[in-house]
Amino acid sequence: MTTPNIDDKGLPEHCLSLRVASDWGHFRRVGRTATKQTYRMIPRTTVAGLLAAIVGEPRDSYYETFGEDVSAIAITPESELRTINMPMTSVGTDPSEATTQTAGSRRSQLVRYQDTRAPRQIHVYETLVDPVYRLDVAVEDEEFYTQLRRHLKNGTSHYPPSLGLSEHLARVELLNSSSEPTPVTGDEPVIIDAAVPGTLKNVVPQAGVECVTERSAAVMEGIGGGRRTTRFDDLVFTPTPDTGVKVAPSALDWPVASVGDKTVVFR
Amino acid sequence: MSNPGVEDFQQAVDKYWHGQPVTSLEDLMTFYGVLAVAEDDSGLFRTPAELSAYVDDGRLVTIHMDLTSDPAEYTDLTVDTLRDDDLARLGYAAKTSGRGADYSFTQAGSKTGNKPEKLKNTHINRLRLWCNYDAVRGVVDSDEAHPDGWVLNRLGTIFKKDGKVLEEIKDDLTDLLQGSEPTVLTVGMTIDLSDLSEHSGENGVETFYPGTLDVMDAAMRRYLTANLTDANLDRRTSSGEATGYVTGEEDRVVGTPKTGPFEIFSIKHPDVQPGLRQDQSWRNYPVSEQTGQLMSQAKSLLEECVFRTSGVETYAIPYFAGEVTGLKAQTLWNAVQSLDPEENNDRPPMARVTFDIEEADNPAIRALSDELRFYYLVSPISDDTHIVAETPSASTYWVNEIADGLVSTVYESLSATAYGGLGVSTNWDLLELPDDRDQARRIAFYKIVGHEFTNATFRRRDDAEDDFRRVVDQQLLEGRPVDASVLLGEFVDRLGDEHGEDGVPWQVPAMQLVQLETLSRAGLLDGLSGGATPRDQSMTQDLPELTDLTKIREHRLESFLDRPMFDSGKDNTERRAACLSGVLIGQISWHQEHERNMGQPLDTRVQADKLTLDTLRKTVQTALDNARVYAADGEGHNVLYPEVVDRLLEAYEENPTEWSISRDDMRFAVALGTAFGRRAMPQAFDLHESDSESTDEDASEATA
Repeated sequence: MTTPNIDDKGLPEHCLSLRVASDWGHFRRVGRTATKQTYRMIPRTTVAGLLAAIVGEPRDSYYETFGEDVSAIAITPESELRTINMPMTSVGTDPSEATTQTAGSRRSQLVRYQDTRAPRQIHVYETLVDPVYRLDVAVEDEEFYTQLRRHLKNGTSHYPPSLGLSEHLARVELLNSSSEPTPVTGDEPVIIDAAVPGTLKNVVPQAGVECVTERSAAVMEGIGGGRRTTRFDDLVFTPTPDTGVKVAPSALDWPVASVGDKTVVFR
Repeated sequence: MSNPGVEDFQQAVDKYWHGQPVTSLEDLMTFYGVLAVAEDDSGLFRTPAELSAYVDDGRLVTIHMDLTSDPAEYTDLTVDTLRDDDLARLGYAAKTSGRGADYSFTQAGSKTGNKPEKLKNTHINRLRLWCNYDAVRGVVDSDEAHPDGWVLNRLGTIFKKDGKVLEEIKDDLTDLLQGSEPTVLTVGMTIDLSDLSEHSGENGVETFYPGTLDVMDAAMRRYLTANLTDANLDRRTSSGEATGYVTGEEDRVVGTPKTGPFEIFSIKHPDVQPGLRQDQSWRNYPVSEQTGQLMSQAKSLLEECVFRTSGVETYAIPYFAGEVTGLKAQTLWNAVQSLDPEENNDRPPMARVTFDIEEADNPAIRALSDELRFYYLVSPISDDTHIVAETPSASTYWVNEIADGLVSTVYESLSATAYGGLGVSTNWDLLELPDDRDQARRIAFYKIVGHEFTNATFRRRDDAEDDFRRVVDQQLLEGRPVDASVLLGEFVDRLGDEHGEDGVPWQVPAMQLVQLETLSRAGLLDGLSGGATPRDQSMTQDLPELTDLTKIREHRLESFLDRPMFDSGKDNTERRAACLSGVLIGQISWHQEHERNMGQPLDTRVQADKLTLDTLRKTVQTALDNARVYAADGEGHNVLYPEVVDRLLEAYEENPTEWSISRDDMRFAVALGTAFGRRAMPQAFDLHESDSESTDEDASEATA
């Protein structure tokens, strides 16, 4: 099987379809540090990190693989996206306060490590309950794609995949190792199951269907000893799994396609 | 300044807004910054209006420099009257708080005038200080240096401490000036155009001023926004070039922006943020310099949108869905800046803004009410590290539905005492509304967005940080139905909170029933088969005969129980039986207290939140025994309150200990029944038509 070619509209010839699920999930929202709040929709960059963990790519090494024109990801929620506030206790990590410095000697290097005898702090994390997402993924990076497919087929992974925090181990299930997306086009509104990039103003309202929006990181690049986001996407989606966003494919900048029994948007 | 007009807002929107609808809190904070700067058309950084007092009356001192060579040369010093036309090139940005030089290189003296000596000793030195501020120097020597940073270097050769040329300038100044007048100091810089990184037109030399040279403008902005890059960073800064989270455009971004009154973003506490690299925060939260400045301007307007009660602060920040226009911006500004939450602390802003817009004189503004949304955010007062509930686009639709439901419940069931209504009761949150329906709806709206609706019936809580009532408020605001089991659990806990020596006031279960029914009417109650709304008796039943107390009681009881939640079906029949048990307990207790002067009537010994099926069985047995014994004391009947006893025995298909109904459900039904039973006799008396003919007969029954 060859690596999928992604056309200039952003539609891949074929893709991997998989489902990721966990009992809990937490995707910290940009701009929230004092509070631990989560996105409802797993950000595209988090998906990149999750897949890179399965393949075993080192930190900051895989941004190009998931770059703008060489990757296509569709994210479809398959569970009700609801959250609860969950208190968790943790050990402080402030190097100037909560660490001790007793290991090592004057001649060797001093090792700083956490003082685990210090009192734990309670932090309340907003946590997704039983999140399930279907991912349709194509990348043009041949080695990555081949390895990812092999891992998914064998049910293996290099690092343990999780949904946000390492505590929230993910269950990963390959649905189809070669889905073939069929383009959906036109000016007629269709119901899209996946998260739709764009704004609410394109969306055709449906009675009794609530649409919400989130802005999250989509594409990153490594630069100057770190990384930065080069694209944020506004996502429109419905928090209940059996409803979708009604929008005309022609109103979107990204390709709409049906993959399996879902109508998705690749971005 | 007078109120800005639509055009002022349109201008500000065109200039500073990214053009998309509001989709995030950051968008909203930025948008409120746009509203704040619309008041003043001079832009986000510059403040030429501060110089209006100087124009025509004050003097403009210009120090002329030749920057075509290095080191720069001081050429001349001129003094003119300050005219309106000068303002643009001065690029003035006042520093209104704290010490130090104005943000712009152009420096202003006192409005009331400065003597030459003072200008020489203070204001000339400010030019020198300005050139050497770290933030200003950032355009020369930082990772994000400006290509024309050399201008600063050349100025620095003149404006240095104890510099010879600087002394020369000071001397010229004191020679030329006389008297005390408001004075503005600026610098004219002659520059070889080919030395500039970007310039339009031919090569040659040209004279620039702080307001016309990009690098000077950039330096001013760095100085002004320094706090956006160095807050909580000990002598370091965090800024870089990246795609802005709000704008989506690549720009200079600042790493420590102010996030309005919410303080949801901070790098202050590395202990709770594993892996935080403070000076790299711009990578994670890239906010353009302009956005950061707008966000910090938004704070005071956002502070108007708060409502503080029961340990939490609830922000309901209004905006309009869809495209941002000048009219929408002006409407919001008008609505928000008059809120004054300190003055109006019993009127939640969400309600006031809604009414303001729905009832505006201008039809174009009224038409906007469909698009009105609120960013709703609840956090504990004085705890900036926690958000209890947050919803980005709350509309008033569900609040209105609930308000309608509450009004209907109060008008149609609670007040309809002839049809089993428990009756209004003053000073109880959900048991009283004004007679005027519009006014009642408005009060209901206030109660719902002001948390009284849930506070009235839910378990009391001290810990605002984890206040589940606020989560339920949010759920209702979003139109997500609440499960009855959640409500019943809360109700029973609250009954426990309220239990005192005299049992529970009847108003508490009454309010809980009102809430069940209100949510039932609004379509926001799940899991109570059929719902809590009584059938419309007035249409299908005749009025009771108001001359016979037993018949009145019977009719009221029948109407009260005529709700789907007491219909057939296993849970419903058990709930009905539990409720009837309560009614008997309540009526017997009333009898004990009022007819027999007993100190501890039966119901004071039944605590709803601790009630078990076995205790219920025993208590009902006692009540039945009492009903027989008390009846034997009197005359006529073989049991007291036959209308209840008959129905109760009929409803008991099974021994209560065999019931499968949930414990909370049973407990609430008993408490509700008890409240009804306690009220049965007094309400029957109230309804009773005391015409002279029947008085004696009724009086004898009343004491039976």
